[in-house]
Amino acid sequence: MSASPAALDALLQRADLWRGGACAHHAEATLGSGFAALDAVLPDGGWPCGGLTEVLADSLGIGELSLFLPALRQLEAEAGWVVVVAPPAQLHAPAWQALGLPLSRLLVVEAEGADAAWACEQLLGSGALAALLAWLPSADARALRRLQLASSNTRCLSLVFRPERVATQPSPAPLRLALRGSDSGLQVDILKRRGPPLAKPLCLNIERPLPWSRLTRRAVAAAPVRREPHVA
Amino acid sequence: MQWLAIHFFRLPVEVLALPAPAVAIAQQRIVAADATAAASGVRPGQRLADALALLPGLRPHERQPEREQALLESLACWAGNFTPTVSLAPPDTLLLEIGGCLQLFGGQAPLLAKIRDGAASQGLSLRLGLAPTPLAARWLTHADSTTEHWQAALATLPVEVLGLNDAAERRLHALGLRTLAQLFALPGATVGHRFGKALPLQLARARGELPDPQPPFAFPERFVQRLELPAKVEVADHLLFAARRLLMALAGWLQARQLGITTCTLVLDHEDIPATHLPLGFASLTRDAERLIRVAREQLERHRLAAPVTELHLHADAPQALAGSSVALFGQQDGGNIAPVIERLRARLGDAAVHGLAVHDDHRPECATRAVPWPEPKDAPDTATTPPRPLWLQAQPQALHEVAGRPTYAGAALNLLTRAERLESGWWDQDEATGDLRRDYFVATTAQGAWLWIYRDAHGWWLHGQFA
Repeated sequence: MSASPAALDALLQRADLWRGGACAHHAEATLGSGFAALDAVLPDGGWPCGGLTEVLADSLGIGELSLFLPALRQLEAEAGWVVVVAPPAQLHAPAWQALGLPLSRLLVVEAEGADAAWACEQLLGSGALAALLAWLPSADARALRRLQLASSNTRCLSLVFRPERVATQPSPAPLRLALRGSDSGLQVDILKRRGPPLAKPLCLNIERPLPWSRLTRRAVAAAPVRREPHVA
Repeated sequence: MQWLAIHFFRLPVEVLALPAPAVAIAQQRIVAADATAAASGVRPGQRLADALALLPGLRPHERQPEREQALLESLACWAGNFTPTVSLAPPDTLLLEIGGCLQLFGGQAPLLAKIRDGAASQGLSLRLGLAPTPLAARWLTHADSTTEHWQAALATLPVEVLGLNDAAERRLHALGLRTLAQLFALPGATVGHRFGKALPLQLARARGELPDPQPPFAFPERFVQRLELPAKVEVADHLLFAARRLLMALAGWLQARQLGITTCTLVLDHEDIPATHLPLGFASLTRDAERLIRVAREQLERHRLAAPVTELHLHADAPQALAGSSVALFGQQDGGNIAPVIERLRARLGDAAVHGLAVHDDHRPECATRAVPWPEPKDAPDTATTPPRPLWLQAQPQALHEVAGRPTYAGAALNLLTRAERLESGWWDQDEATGDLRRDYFVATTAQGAWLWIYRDAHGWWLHGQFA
């Protein structure tokens, strides 16, 4: 006996079930990523609000935050707070402000190890967050599962940044990305999504302090100043 | 007018907070028994010897009327959570006028549930009585009656609720008068003639035929309350139960006086050494009992007692006016409140661990960011268009090797993308931490595609930030 087509349709409405060739569709809110090529391959056509997004990147400065800038700028003041947990370096306030991330809604939580994961869970539980940016290099699967549960009840863009070596470990996050820098753009490899795997990484021209073309036209301004800085 | 009488019928024993089974005694007779003792048949009025025969493990303790009075006043403060019109009816009853605040709590049932929960969390047993007159409400506590048909309920009460002397009670019984209904049926003059002039007046007040004004409880000008502990406490988190009584009273006092606090101090008294002051800090002005208790719990769980504690004090530091909040018109909720979470994080991680950011007007990158306890409500208008600045800044600039006149990072030469940007500032604090700077800044990329902010000074090349 096979299930009736109606029952099958009802089953396909589930967030954790999808056909082999297509992506699952979540009813939850999304934030447009600002990159058409990326929106096309994300299951809901944008970054999910609610549910963890795990971002694997090894070095600082490849554009790991700039990738999310268009989404973070869309957040309305009423949506809630943007909280940075356990940042890997100091936040340079003038730059955050200049890039359109209002400091009036930004909070920084300095914590280490298990405390950082605990803080994230508490923050997600408050329901007052619009976005959570957390660096949890040592979080284990149990901590991530708790965060995924806490996050799935919210409408918060929940980004967890981790080193690339954990790519082989299983993760409860429904969306996992690996980021790599390159001369032509940021390489975004979607390791896991609620849908079929992608054949090759995307290359996105994210916002950088200088136009990307400057990288290809090498040596325009590359010659360092030879003389010593003037010392009075 | 709707009067709610709260009768703390075990107050004499519950104020002592003794382990069960316990009784409070006066002149070798039971005054009040706790729930365990009452379940074994120990009744107020019994002789202590009889009670000990019923329950050999009973802990008798001499009644302490002054502590009962202090607790009743503290409970009156707590009742300020529900209504501003509170009256004391010593020794063990509070009268609350709740007609004006039913709307706020969404009706009578939710309000009564809140009051019952609040008392239970402080370890207090209560009986409620609800009637349009204060005296009827007090009498109805004997039946724990909050019914709408208060007159019917009042009529069925036994004559013992009147609190007459033994001789008068015997005379009532001799006449076959057992309930108030029978007494109400008699002409007032006859009752007055037989039982004294006061009784018909009381009956008239209870039925609302005569006015019965109640002296309102004056909420004290300053909140300083103390609580003596029944035994020396050696583990900090065992103090929470006692601290909860104080904090709930504080919340009610703040509510009644329309105040809020950002700090209060819990003082732990020891026997031999000076008292420990435990400051409780809140992220925003508050009078929410739940928040007060949560922060106290975090603090007490982490605190190591220097010596056993004998007494607790609670001071409200510098209360400020805090207007009440309006109930949303269409029942909409804003997306939750972050302040209670921030308090919890600060209690565990330290005050400095949770902060906002503000831009400080200084050209030196190290000095351009200031951590502020709470973000400023409006961003400063960003008018100046500056050269690119990185999102991440290294706390300590990282030295870079120079190979063939070019800086290298992780063994590979960096690709410099901009001309030098000279930052020269800070001559005024030559000897300070940051000091006088003379640097040429560049934007550089690595072979791995990372964008770095580096500078060169008299000592060489340094990595200062990353364009995340």
